[in-house]
Amino acid sequence: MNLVIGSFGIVLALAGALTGAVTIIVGIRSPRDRLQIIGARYAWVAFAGMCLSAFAMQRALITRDFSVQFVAEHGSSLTPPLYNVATMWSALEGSILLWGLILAGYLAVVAKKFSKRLSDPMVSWALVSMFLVMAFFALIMLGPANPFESFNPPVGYDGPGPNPLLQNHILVAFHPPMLYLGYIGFTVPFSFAVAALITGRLGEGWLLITRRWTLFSWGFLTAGIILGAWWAYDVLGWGGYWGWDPVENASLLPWLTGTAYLHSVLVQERRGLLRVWNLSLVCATFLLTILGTFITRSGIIASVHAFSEGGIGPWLLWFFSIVLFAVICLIFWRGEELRSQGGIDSPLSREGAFLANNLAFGGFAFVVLLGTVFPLIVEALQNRQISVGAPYFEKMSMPIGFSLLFLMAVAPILPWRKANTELVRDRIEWPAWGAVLSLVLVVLLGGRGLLPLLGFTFAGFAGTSAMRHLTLSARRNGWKGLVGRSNGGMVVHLGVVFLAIGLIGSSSYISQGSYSLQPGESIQFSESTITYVSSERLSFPNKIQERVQIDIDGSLLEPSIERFTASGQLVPSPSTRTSPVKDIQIALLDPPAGENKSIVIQVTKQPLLLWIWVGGFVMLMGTVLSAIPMQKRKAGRNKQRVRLSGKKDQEK
Amino acid sequence: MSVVFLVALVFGTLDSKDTKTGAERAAALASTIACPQCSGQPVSESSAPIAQVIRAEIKEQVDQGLSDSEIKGIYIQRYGEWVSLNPSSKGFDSIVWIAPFLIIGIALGGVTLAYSRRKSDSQGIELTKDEEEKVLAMRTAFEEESHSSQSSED
Amino acid sequence: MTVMKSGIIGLAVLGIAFIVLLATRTTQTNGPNYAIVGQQAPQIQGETVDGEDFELDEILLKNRSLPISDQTWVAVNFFASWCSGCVTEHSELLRFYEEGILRDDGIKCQTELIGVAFNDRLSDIENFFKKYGGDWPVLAGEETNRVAIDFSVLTAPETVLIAPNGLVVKKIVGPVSYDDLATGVTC
Repeated sequence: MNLVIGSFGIVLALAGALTGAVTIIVGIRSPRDRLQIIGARYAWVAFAGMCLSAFAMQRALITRDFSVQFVAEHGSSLTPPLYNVATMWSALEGSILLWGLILAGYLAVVAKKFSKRLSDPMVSWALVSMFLVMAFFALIMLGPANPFESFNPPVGYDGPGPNPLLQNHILVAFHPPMLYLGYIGFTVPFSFAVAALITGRLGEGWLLITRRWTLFSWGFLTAGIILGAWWAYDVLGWGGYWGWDPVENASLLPWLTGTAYLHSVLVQERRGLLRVWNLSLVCATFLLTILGTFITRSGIIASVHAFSEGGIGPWLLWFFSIVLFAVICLIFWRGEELRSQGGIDSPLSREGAFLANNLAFGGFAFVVLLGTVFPLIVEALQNRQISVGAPYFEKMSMPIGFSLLFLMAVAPILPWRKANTELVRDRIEWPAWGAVLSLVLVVLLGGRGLLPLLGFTFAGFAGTSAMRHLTLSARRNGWKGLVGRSNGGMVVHLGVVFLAIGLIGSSSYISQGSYSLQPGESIQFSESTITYVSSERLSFPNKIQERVQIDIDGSLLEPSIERFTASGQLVPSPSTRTSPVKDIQIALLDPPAGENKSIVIQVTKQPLLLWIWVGGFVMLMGTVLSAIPMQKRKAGRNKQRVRLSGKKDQEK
Repeated sequence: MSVVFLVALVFGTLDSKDTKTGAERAAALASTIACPQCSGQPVSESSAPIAQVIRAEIKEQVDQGLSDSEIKGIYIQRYGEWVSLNPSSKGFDSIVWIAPFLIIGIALGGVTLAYSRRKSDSQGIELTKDEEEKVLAMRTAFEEESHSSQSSED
Repeated sequence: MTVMKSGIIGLAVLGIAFIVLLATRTTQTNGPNYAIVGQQAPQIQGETVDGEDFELDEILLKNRSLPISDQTWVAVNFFASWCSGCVTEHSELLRFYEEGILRDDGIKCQTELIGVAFNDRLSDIENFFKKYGGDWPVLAGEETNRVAIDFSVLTAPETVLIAPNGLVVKKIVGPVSYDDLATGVTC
């Protein structure tokens, strides 16, 4: 039954998407407004179809319907309920189903939000683009990634359950969906960019109407990535939160271009510049999500996260190629029309800083992409296997990170068009003091090493600059001074500064060791005393847990190792003691072989690690603040935007 | 201010320990050697028994006085080049280190070229010093004002 | 053709190259390492599941004082109780253990089979053998990881064939068959 409903849902989604696209295109070409409006309604058909399929999958999972092959391969009667629901996105086919559901959701919301403007070709073409993307994903689900294949379970069959690493932490229920809300959300500004290219309306229009969507998607993408890091930290056992693994890099790439885009649009809105940059960045973001999915799921690059090798690779690659060339052709076709009127007057200006920002983020994306695919290039050209791992990415991202912090400090200070040195000197005084004081403080507290110290200096520089902006704004406008795009943005920057502090502290001053302990034995580790107190063994329906009690300076930590019965896989569960100053994480490497036997633990100390999560949280708060309008729009206000160039400005 | 900055920076840099202890060297090396069975994770970050053994081996080798490149060489010989996570800086592999700087250089060059071309193309109206200052003052005042009402920053 | 358009074309060419690169890659796994073949076998030393000590050198030393036809070939089978390939190959190993390798004239070559279980628990290994048969010596415990590294073992199962003089003549990655071993032994 679930099989039928599920498959029907996908077919419905495909039909809805294709019919919608065709209807709208006919409507635009003929032209018949009516058709464009009707075509948009098919978004609801697609959404209904995906809801049906998702519902069918969840029902199959919850009732342990093993006649559905996906459930037979990934479900189990032993899996706890919450993890059972999350099992849907614990493997390829279900993940694509989730993707389809979220995409259809965005389609429906776009159709609703723009319902008064459906006869506008810009909106229509955007919908066509989204319909086509939807159709592609529906096709995949009918082809190589079918979640509703049937299975003939033998009597008494019970599935193996999802991968144990996906069953022991609650973030499995949040990280993938939030990441998807982020990725898939960028389909909206991308589609409008395509529509802008097709209709030739290359001004600020498409940027303005997609502003909220971009912010929303970016927020979720950021949250998703940070939650992923938190999850890794909580589960892995050696204090790591980011491994520069190909799949992690795949999720970072769209974030990098997306962040650049988020900033770069400000320049186009204000001065109509950087148009090609903005189109390219948003298209790149979308393309990178497809490329990222390809890298994750095709198996061509080995990764600890790669959890499937279906036949989906070629499909994704074809889709990537088609979209890439469509975008290139569109940009080529529009050619000179894309060129902005006017240009950047002086590098020492807000526009100049944003351009530098684009270069920095673009460079960062290039580094990450190059490092990830370089082994493939070497293999193709020289038939050798090499690896490009964390050491490369860490070394390369450091100068870029410093540059970004510097830009964060300097850009809010620079005025538009051209800065005069008086002005800059005046505005930069506080942040400069902030930078120096941060450095002195860190040195006094014991921080050493040229690179970390530089990092802290830049972080102080950027943080003080953001605080300066916020303070000035709050002084003028009270509480309202903290909301709105520019102020919210400064709060996000503050979050980035905290994040940077956490990154620098935890990576530069990490210390780690593994120790064998007899019951009752203590060791000294970096100013702390660690004692092995006791151990116990607990049984659960799907796993056996060996847990030890470790005393560290008076508080008790309980790291454990779990062996999952269905697969025999061992999964460690480290335990962490956190404080704003440092995190100490203890992982159980070797459980006791019997009564009163020794254990082996790994201890990791990382200073300032908590600030990574604080920073992430502040970034999200800033995003929310950005979305709150500073003041209600008053009708008829058009006095502000007089451009010295005398061009006609837009009316709100 | 710059004096304070330089003093603090130099002090903080030079005061740090020059040589790493054996354990630190071993840990650093461990993060550059891949665990053979673990799809690209370094041995410092894998709980697989083989990773634990390699970590212990590395520590022994450091204590025995082998150099970093010698230790890496042992594992490369045993398993192949892919076990080193740091791409080599010689030969073809050095491209991965050089290319980013090259690309950023080209991009900066392109931007500078476009900028200077624009500068020389434009026929600016020459303002007198007074006029320039007036314009600047007007613009600054306008900037501050628009900051306060934030109408365009919604 | 403006600078911009030629730039776009350049980008398109790069894009094509990139896509071709991705399209021609196959699933990547770190290749099995056969470097050990043709080298002297590294030391194998450890305790078996039954508590006995085992040392490869003992066999090799004895070989030196025997005529060629009596010298022992050693097959080392790296496995784990939880690996499915190990179950597949077990019957082949059983055959090797019980029948041995026969020369053309019907004389049996001297062969020894030892198992090296890594990442495994004693109880699981014992159950494995109880279920599938066989009672050749199986090394287990901490030292097995060292042996696995020395032989560049990546996954289970892998089997190595060592000639009487200590030279590694063959390495089979994946489930081994009786014939794999038979064709390697000459006595």
